[in-house]
Amino acid sequence: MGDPILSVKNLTVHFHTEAGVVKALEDVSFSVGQGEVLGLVGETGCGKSVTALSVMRLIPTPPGRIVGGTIHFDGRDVLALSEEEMRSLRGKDMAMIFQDPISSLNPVFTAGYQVEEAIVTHEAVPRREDLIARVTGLFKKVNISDPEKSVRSYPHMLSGGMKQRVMIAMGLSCSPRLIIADEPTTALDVSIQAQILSLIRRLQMEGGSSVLLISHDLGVIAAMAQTVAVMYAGSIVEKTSVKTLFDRPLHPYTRGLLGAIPRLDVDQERLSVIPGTLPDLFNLPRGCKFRERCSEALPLCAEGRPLLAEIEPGHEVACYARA
Amino acid sequence: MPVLEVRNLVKHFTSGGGLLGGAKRVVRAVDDVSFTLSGNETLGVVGESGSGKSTLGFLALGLLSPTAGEIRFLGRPVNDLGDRENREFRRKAQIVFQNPFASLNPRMTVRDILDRVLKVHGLPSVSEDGEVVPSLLREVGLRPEHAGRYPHEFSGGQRQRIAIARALASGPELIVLDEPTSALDVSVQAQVLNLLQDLQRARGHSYLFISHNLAVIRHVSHRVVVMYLGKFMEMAPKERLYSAPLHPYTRALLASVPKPFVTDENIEDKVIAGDIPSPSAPPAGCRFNTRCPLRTPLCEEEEPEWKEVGKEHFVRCHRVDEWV
Ligand SMILES: Nc1ncnc2c1ncn2[C@@H]1O[C@H](COP(=O)(O)OP(=O)(O)OP(=O)(O)O)[C@@H](O)[C@H]1O
Ligand SMILES: Nc1ncnc2c1ncn2[C@@H]1O[C@H](COP(=O)(O)OP(=O)(O)OP(=O)(O)O)[C@@H](O)[C@H]1O
Ligand SMILES: [Mg+2]
Ligand SMILES: [Mg+2]
Repeated sequence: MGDPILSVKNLTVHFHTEAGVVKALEDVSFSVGQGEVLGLVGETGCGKSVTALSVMRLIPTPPGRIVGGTIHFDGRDVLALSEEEMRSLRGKDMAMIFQDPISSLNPVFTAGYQVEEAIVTHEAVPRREDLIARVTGLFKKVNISDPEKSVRSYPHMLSGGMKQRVMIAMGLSCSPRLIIADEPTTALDVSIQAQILSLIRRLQMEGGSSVLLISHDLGVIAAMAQTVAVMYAGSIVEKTSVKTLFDRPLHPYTRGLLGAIPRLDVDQERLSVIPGTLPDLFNLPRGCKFRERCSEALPLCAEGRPLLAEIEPGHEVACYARA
Repeated sequence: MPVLEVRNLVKHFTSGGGLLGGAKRVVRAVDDVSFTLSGNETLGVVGESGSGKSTLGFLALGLLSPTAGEIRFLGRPVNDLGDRENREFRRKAQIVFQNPFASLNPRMTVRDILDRVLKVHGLPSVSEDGEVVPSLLREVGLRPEHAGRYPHEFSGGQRQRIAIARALASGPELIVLDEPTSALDVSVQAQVLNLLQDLQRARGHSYLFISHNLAVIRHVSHRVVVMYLGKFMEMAPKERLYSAPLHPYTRALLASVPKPFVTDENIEDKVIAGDIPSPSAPPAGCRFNTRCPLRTPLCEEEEPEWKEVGKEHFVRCHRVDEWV
């Protein structure tokens, strides 16, 4: 795969709030290869969106602050770029697709105009007719029905699935090398979700872009990703190929999560349950953050935080019970 | 006797027209649906957004009045109940909503919330085996000490437990669950689903379980009905619906769900084309015809009948005989 397009090392992000310091990310490391789809999965508040926003350098500061770690995009040190360099990176080389297409589109402009804007922000304005043709072409590419008419539609006239297609058209307008999709189908119906996922897949294959796909839905991850990173309370606890993760999960949290999902294909007498609740990010326990809910915890687990270690080729786990 | 019997139920919503002007539009949110629900049974209602699931739940509880059709609760027609019967109906038919944040009064403690339900229904707060509130809390997996706390002091899953305790307080025979776990994380969802099943085993009430999540519906239901734009498209015992679905919509829907394990299937092969039509302008004929890969000219003209094609297995499709 050559050098990774995105490489994140020991990323640590805090939010300073009135109630205290939220340790949103702690020593998060991963990379996304050229043309690879990396899935980032985990439950509410585990730090998926903060990871994505950090890569785009969109963490609201204050209250947020990147307190440690490095982010490299195509060999460039993202955290050292000027705001102007960053602006040209965003939307041109990296594009972000959010969960909520409704609030990401401006209600007072037509869908087509908003995609035009995305293009002219990064390119010297071509002729107006060319611009319109390009936007109409993009709408066609993302399977928007009746593109000539849809470019003139306002967001409220479009369905949720159509709005997400407009967002994708906007994201793709400059052929980005990395697409960051944060829960891109969570707000959509299953039949529309399948359409959007297959669209992202097709565009990724055709354009050779890399994708950082964030979802809490292990089904979406299984269908789309090659590599998966599982997050828990601000840390990556397991990282491996999608096949290994589902065939042979090793971290006790990953195993718990897989057992808790109702299955479409088999009858389960009872769902397995992860006892307890998420730790408080204001006040993290010493040792492993999953220890208090873990049936395999060792005395050692109360001492230090286990780091990700390669337990077998291509399979990294942060767990003393597996080391 | 069934807990709930629904015959040819219809609910239309009219918008526009009148003083505000605009074209008058009628949404057929629930259109000619029939089913029964027995004691100790769970009927799962699954469908995409706007298919009429919540409207059906509200109708079943008498919270909306039907445009046409009949609903019987424990044998009595609910739109024709005397005062006393009506009070009993309100006590025995309860609901739990998707959003535990919005459905609990933030200024009341858990004890106040539960006491109030008992008072409204004229039930004692002390029973033979002790105080009611602590035993309700224990039943839903909370601790008696939690009674003095306010809803905001609880996590999402715990709040949903409080909402379940509130529904249980009056000793219901029917609980409508409208997306009860859709706002919860999978690990919390598993806890709540297990709790709901344990409660049904212990108490024997019935659930009308509404969800857009096909896997959740499979897990909790005895029978399942699939809705699309206000219509029932298919209804069958769970095993049949998931292993031998007959309606092209059910099949396509099941195929669209990304499976939480790696398959050889390609997501591209599963796509149902097209958008969901607007509920205020549904297509003529079969409502699924605009997206159906097996459409014939008849499907665009004539509404298919609701046919029983096997034991307890109903389908609304012109072509179903070809593959039964
Ligand atoms: N602006 C902010 N101020 C304070 N805390 C924040 C802020 N943004 C995020 N956090 C905290 O950082 C943690 C990680 O949040 P993040 O949004 O990344 O979670 P997530 O994994 O995306 O969850 P979800 O699945 O709910 O989207 C959470 O505890 C959250 O409360
Ligand atoms: N009070 C109302 N007035 C007008 N239209 C309504 C009203 N309630 C529901 N509708 C319409 O009826 C249709 C069915 O709505 P309903 O809420 O029952 O769907 P649902 O299946 O529960 O959808 P979701 O999955 O989004 O909750 C929709 O088109 C909705 O817009
Ligand atoms: Mg998020
Ligand atoms: Mg609803």
